[in-house]
Amino acid sequence: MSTTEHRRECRSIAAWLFTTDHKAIGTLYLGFAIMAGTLGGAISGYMRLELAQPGMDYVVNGQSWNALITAHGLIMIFYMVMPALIGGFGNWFVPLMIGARDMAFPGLNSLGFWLLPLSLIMLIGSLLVGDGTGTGWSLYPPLSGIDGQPGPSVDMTILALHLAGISSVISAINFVTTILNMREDRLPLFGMPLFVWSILISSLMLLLAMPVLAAALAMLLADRNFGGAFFDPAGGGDPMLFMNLFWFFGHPEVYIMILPAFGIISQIVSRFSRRPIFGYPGMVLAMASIAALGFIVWAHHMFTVGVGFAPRAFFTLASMVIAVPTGIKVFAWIATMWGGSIRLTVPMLWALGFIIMFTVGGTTGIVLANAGADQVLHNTYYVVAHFHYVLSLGATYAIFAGFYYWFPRMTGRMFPEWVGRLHFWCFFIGTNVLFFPMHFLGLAGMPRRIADYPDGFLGWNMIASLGAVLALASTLLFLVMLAVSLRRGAPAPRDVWGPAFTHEWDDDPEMARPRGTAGVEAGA
Amino acid sequence: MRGRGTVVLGFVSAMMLDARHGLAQAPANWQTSFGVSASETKERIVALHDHILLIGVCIVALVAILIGFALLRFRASRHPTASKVTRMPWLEFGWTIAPVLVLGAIAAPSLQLLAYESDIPDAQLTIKASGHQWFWRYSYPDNGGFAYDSIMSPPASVPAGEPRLLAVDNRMVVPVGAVVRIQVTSSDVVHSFFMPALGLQIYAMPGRLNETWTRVEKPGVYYGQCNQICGLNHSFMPIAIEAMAQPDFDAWVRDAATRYPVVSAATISAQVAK
Amino acid sequence: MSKTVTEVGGTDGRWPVAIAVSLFLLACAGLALFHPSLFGTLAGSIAVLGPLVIAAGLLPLFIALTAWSRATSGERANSPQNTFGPRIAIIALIASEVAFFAALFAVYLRYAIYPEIAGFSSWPPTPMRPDDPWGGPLLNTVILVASGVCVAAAHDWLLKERWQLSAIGLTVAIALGGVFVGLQLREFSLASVGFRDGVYPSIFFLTTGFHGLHVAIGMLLLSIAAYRVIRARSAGGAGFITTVASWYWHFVDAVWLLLFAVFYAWAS
Ligand code: HEM
Ligand SMILES: [Cu+2]
Ligand SMILES: [Cu+2]
Repeated sequence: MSTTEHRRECRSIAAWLFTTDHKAIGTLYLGFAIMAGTLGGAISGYMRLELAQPGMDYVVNGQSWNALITAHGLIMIFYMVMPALIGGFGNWFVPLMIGARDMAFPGLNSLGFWLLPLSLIMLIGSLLVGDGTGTGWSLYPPLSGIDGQPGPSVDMTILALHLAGISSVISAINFVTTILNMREDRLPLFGMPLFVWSILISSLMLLLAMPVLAAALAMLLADRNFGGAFFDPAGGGDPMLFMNLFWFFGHPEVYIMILPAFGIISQIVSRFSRRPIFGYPGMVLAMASIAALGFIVWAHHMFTVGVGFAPRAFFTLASMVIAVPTGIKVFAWIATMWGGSIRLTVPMLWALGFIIMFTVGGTTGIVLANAGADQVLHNTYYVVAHFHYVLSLGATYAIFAGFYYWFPRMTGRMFPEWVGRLHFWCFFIGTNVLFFPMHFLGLAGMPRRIADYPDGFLGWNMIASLGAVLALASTLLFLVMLAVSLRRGAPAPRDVWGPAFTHEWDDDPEMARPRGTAGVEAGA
Repeated sequence: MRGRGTVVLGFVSAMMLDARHGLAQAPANWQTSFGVSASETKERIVALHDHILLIGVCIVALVAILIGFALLRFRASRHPTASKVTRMPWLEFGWTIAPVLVLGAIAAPSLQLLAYESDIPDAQLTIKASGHQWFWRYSYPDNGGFAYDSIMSPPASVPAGEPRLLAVDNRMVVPVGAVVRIQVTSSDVVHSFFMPALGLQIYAMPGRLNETWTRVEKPGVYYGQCNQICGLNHSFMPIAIEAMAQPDFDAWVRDAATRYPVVSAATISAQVAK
Repeated sequence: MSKTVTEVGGTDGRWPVAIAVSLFLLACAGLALFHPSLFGTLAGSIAVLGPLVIAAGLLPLFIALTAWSRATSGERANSPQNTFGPRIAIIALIASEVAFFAALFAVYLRYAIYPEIAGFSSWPPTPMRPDDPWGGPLLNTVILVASGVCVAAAHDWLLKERWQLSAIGLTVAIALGGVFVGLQLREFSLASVGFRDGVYPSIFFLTTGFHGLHVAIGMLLLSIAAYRVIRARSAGGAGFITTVASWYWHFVDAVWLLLFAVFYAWAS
């Protein structure tokens, strides 16, 4: 195929729309995640502007503030982190790593992707129509009930999440089948790269967690529109039930987001230490036990709901136990570096940032896991700090790490190293200045999800907003670099990063082409 | 015009506010840890937190130092050939067991604290706090059942010396040194009764009556805020508790009983049932 | 180096996009039903048409799915079958359905075991009663179990290349499924309580309703299988879809048995 022809093919909208090629779909997922992340980031910039000083200076009222924070959370989780880590890198590299020609169900793969932008349209619609969904991403009734939010917004949010949920379940089925059935001959399960393991385990978690959210949302929808009483005390229902169902999904969901990040970090640390990952079986078992434990800790989000000693003690202990496999992972990464031959490339920089920042977030997680202490920390900015350390400084760092690592492979081009480093340091400083002071605010008792705060919280909020400026500016830098490198980046050789342990580097790097799988067959 | 000038001004005044809030029990600027502790519960929470924090800091430092050291010693330029070892069972066993021990050192005091918080001692006084969009209603069933609403003072007319967004028109009043049982419920959506200085937080759930307790050790006014997103004015439903000596409290009760209407127990349970 | 791709998804990328769009339209139809005013001048007609709106949303989905399955069936018939992959996929799908129903059962059990939390002294809250389990529900159980036996037999016959018997078995199973759905609908319409009468009817109707929906999906799968068997006049072209349909049907059966035990027998 000639280059011009290739160009034309890439540019054709129909080709991208109807492609079933896993690499092209992976590219679509990544592009989508970047766009959604930009949207979610813009909303958070607006939020930090509002919070830079006391008073309500920018948002119209508390309801529209609540709608913004809800949109921010949902967009970042369902349309940025998950599509990037699972849909994007998973699609690109799981088949390549296991030597499969494509995903097991290329058509379903495409279906899974296209549901997402449509779902996002529905979600954005919910923000624009009426008063918006002012409930927080956890959607607790009765606030999310028909009396709490009478307009159509909550229904639109629920429908958007149903679509996103269908998409997740479809792609989870696809990954499970691909990984279990389509490995190259003689590649045993315990020979798979850790990234493949992480996608397998995340997919299994998705299969069991997502439907529970779907059930809870179906009940909420029934309460809102058909006069159901699942969560309505007037009819004998109980809002606490929703919390249980939501977090039975919600806690596994946080691990669904972090396991693929673990996988990426493992690949990168091993590659740039020039040795296979240390303690491989332990790493796999650690991920598996994190997944299993992840299903029995949900009530640590509900310590102050009004439950007795025994359940709180149980969920305290169970939550803390997760720190053990998590610790195994961190120590194994360090042990891989120890005795290795380390090159501090851009992806490695991001990976090391991930390890340290994730450790901070894991430590505050341990603090929060103590029901007795959570009493003064629950729902404060301390929790906001915790989950941003594991998500913004954790999962997001892993996304950038993976992006820089695989960028040459995915595009056939290199990015300027110095920009990658500048991006890292600005983002590292920015996010830490942004999120670290939130620990202080939380300890001082600042509630989350408020639009205006008592003046005593001013100082650290102002600092946090300054940090946000730096973090957002560095993201802009990333976007510019992306646009430039995609067109003008130097051609990347196959061995940009030196010898590889995994198979995704076997072929020459090249831009994904949107095409049907049949095309692969003809060309192969 | 609000602009950069305001921000800078705000910054400066923020630093000066410190001094003023030094005595009050409201959050102070640049505070980096918990504020006042006015109950034993809070003191115990702070102790547990500090204990875990110490361990946490050590862990983070350990990880950071190990990584830094690895970077120095095992850079490609200084260590060109990587070791081939990928398993060291005793090491792996060690880093599985060590965290278990550390967690044990956290779990023991943690469960003690939890037990302390969960066992409600015999209460000398019961107060009911019920969350409404967007204010709190306190009632005193032991003292004839009078009830009153506690609404945030509008920012324009905050009483002198009181913090904006935390000051209310009618505070919850408790006697110092007495065990107070606080029953919390809601008449509409979920709220959360959160009082950092006392180490208290419990949700106000419609259809449920939650219970917690406190014993305030020092007289003073303590501030908290509704801590569960509850709609339009979630940012504006503070909680203010005033602790006073028993005789003052008794006088306050006598006065309050004449000033505020009595809400019958039936009304209250009807509210809960709703 | 690459292994056989087990393609159910097909390679024609147009249908997946069409299905995504029709699911989106279905969501919009639901929205139109809940909030007709959102759609401006159409509001009046949407309010009047009611459930038809949902049908209008389902239609494109149905068309796209049919077209997709037709587009992919030819492809697969030509290539030697590796059905291990699809089997995993079906197991994964059923696992997620199990999680869905587990959530519904958990809600029910939570109220049934602790009715006092909801302010009831008994469960179901007096005066509500489920139908006498040993009447209609038992009949329904018998019908569904019988249809399950038919499906199992049909599957077995297919493996033995007796496609006529197999087609008959599938058809009878579908018919029994239809009777089941009819009886359920009758039970719903005769019920003394409505969905709006509190948490008990809410969970009862939602769970049995979702189960009914799954029976309908199962019937659809069985119909496709029967159609393929009859059209191919042999067992060859329809082996896998029959396996899928029968697994699904057994799953739906199992859910009903649990439903019968928990929602009917235990409750009364
Ligand atoms: C050592 C591991 C971890 C432990 C022990 C832990 C513990 C906790 C606890 C107890 C809470 C509830 C705090 C409260 O609301 O009072 C919480 C909140 C949260 N955690 Fe973690 N966590 C851990 C790791 C993670 C990871 C890896 C992620 C995600 C990648 C994560 C994301 C979150 C989020 C998003 C919330 C807030 C949910 C909300 O209320 O909106 N956590 N964590
Ligand atoms: Cu959690
Ligand atoms: Cu509130």
